[in-house]
Amino acid sequence: MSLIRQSVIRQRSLSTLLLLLIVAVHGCVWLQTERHSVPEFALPEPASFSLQSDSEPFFQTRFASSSVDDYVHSASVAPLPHGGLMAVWFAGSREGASDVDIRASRFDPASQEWTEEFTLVSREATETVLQRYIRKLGNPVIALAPDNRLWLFYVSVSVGGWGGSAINAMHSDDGGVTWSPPRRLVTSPFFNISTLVRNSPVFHRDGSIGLPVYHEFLGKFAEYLHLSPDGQVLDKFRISEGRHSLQPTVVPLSGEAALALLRNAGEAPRKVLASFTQDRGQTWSEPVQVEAWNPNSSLAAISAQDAEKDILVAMNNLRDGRHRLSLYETDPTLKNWRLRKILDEAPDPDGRLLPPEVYRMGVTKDFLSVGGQKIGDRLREYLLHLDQRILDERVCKEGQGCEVEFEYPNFMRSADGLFHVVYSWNNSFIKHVAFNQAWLEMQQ
Amino acid sequence: MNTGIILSHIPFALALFLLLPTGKLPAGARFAALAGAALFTMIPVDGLSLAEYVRSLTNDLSITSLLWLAWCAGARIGGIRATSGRRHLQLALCFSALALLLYPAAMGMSMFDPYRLGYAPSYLLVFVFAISMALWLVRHYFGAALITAATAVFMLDFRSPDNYWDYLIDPLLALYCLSVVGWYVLRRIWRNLKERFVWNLSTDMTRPAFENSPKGLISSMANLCPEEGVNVIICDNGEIQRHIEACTRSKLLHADQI
Repeated sequence: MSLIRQSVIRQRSLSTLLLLLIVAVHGCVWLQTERHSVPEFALPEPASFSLQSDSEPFFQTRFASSSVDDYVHSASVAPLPHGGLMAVWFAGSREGASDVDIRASRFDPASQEWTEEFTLVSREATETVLQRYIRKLGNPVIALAPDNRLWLFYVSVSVGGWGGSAINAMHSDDGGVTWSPPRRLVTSPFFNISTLVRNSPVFHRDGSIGLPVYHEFLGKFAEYLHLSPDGQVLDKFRISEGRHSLQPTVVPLSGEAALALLRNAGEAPRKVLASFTQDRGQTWSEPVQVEAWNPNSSLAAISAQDAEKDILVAMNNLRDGRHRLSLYETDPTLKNWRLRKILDEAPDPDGRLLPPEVYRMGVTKDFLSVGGQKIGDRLREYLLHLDQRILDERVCKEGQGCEVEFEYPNFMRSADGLFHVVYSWNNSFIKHVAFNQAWLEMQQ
Repeated sequence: MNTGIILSHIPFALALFLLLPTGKLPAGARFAALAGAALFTMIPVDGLSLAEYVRSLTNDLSITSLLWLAWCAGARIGGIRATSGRRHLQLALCFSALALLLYPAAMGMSMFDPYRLGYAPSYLLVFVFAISMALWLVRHYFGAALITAATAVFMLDFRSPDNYWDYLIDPLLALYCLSVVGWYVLRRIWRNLKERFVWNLSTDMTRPAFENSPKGLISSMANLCPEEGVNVIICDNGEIQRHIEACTRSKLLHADQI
């Protein structure tokens, strides 16, 4: 009997202890939990740009990549803390191949030339640091934070297709010379997969990062990740839901408001989707289709001289295909779209497939229109590469012809006031276009 | 070796051990099997261990999964009392509910994303505290301790994920719990269908188990298991179990022995 009593007393003591533990542990965590608020968007002050560059119209094109035989795609560009630019993209034998790595090059403002490209991070390096199998790498995004820290976010996949993606983050405090090891952002409860990045982040007043991301697994929808200045995920907010909207590009319009333009992956004919926030990215309006067409392709937007009035958008304003990339200006109502410049277009206005010989002639002409000291050498190397192949498989398919594509633009504005767009040029080169406000006004 | 890697080897080794048919082996051999499973996870293939390959697929398991696996492995080796079938089912039900609350919405079925509640988890903590208290009140101390331990590890924050949900639940735990609950529901449906069929065939079928027992006990047991009194068993701790495997054999008293 006494044994039973002892057992009952022991059980009651243990249960009381457990009760105390439950209360204490949950209470401690509750007290420790920080309630994050989302600060206002950091808007670039127009006065912060050196307007000297705006005195004369300026427009310049270059190739940022230098390899002639790799499949290159999904470029992103950022200013460097002490002048110049850095562009990143993924390159390899084909999209999704295991030899794809993240390449980069730097733009020297003195010589107005891009350096030889170099590998910034490889699949193997990511695998070694993260200590998990990495099957392929994907979209990279580079951005300069207000504290002069350079951030690189890039996609990696361990299993399956792009739906199995996770986002990795690296940073550099010395202008991209040395980088931290990659770290996986935790963004999804389902094996931490299905989150991708494509467009540049925006920043908040406290230096925290607003990273537009998207899901591509069971659904295709966009989200806004709020990261601390040191890259920890603080919160995330849904921009859209469903199966048809992805790759958001976010443009702050004021401290409180921002616009997100989204790629439309719905049924054709498709138009660009737009969503607005009025509370610093915490809630977003239901995406609506605007006037501009979107052939299920990535687009990029940035605020122009006056954030509340002008927005520049680089996109394929086409019902189908990606054979023309154009620069448009609009306002936050998104009702008035004005074409400013066709950045690149295929010889055939309808984007029909070209015979390989026609493609060769066309690209030679296009190639020579791109400036730079080494462009002649680059062209010879490129033509030699084409001569060694029956078809350039990045662009041409046997028996079908060659599909000219200008796609995946990325936009930024540097401290000297210049606008910079980088995009995939026939999946063969990363093209860089720079222009200033004076040139933009001339286009009106 | 960082904590993430340790946390990838341990659950893989424990899961592997639990999948091995070691139930009838002596305790020493079972321990050796666990050690063998741990060594197996470390086999390198192309520069990565097997555990790291599995981790590439599964991501890090939650603390609750890890502790539950450890408890089950401890029970298999001996020295730790296994949770009863009913307790196991209750816990599976609890995690299934959490999984259904989290995964469909987090993967895009609604604009509301419950996963974001785990980044600064004030509201989620209140909810999880309520679950822990509910488990404690129904004397499911194992479940309450499991969730409290996961919360404590989140507080200590030595793991890399920074979302509270990732400490509480993971897709493999969700899948396991949903399977347990689904299997139970299917068995119940099958049993009910079978009993209805038998009842219709033999009209003189009765419920004989407690006919000679005290009246109060009969009525209370009939309320608990109105359709199958014959299977009702009483443990020495006073819990009424429906199945003989729910209690260890040494602690059983059959209804007709009272």
